[in-house]
Amino acid sequence: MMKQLLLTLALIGFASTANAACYADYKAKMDNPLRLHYGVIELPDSACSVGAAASNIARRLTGGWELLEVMSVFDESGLESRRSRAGQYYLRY
Amino acid sequence: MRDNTTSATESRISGTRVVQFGILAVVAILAAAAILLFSYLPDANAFNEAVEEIFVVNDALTTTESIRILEILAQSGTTFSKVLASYRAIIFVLILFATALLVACLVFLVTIVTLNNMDFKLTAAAMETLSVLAEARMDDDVLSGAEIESMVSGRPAADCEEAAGATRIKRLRDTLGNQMVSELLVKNIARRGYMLAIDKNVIKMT
Repeated sequence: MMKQLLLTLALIGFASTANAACYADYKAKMDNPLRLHYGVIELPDSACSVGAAASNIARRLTGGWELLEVMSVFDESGLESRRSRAGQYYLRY
Repeated sequence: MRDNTTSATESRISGTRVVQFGILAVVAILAAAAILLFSYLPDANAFNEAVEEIFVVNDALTTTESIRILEILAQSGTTFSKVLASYRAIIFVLILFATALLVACLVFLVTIVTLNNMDFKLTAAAMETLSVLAEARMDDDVLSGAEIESMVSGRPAADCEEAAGATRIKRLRDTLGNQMVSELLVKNIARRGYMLAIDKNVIKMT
């Protein structure tokens, strides 16, 4: 029983390293008039942390959007729950 | 007469100084008020920054609907700040009015004080007539010429002539009028001569 559980955990661990895709959700704004958005963005492995993602995302946001905050970094498993909230800004930039 | 003229000139100079200091003080105070007014009202972006902070702090406000509502909140704040700006302009205009009114009051006050401070040198006879008139004024009485003459000379009114009282009034008027005009209009500058005490721009030749 214990063995089985460990094996499952190991498999899950393997699976997640195999799909090492990295995503972040963030908040951004645009001035005059104030506009806000919540978005989900894909990150390269090199910038896969909240601290490192900020400069990467800020550089990729275009059209006057200014990054306010990187909320969290997650992998594919977190995508689906955020899809509806991000709306048109789901993986847009 | 010379003493009189000198004191009138001095009071006018000190009056001018009071007016200058007063106007400076009034303008300075109201300018400070205007600066405070403009620096303490929130600027147009204050509302946007507040909404932005709400958005950053609350992770629950990330759905499309709540973001839309936050944007509307920011827009209504911006509209309100425009209203504030117009209020600011109105308050500033009111401050200008207040300045003008205070300055005008000060000038009028000093003018009145100057008029009330005029000194007159009267002869003993003119002084008597004036005191009789002042006494009658305090009792709300009107005196005929004969009554004035009777009060001054001490004889009964029936024995006095109307013309004698009229002459006293005429002398009082002459000496008061002369001195008033000499202080306000035809100035005597000590040891130098005479001059019209008016601005030269008001003289018009037709």
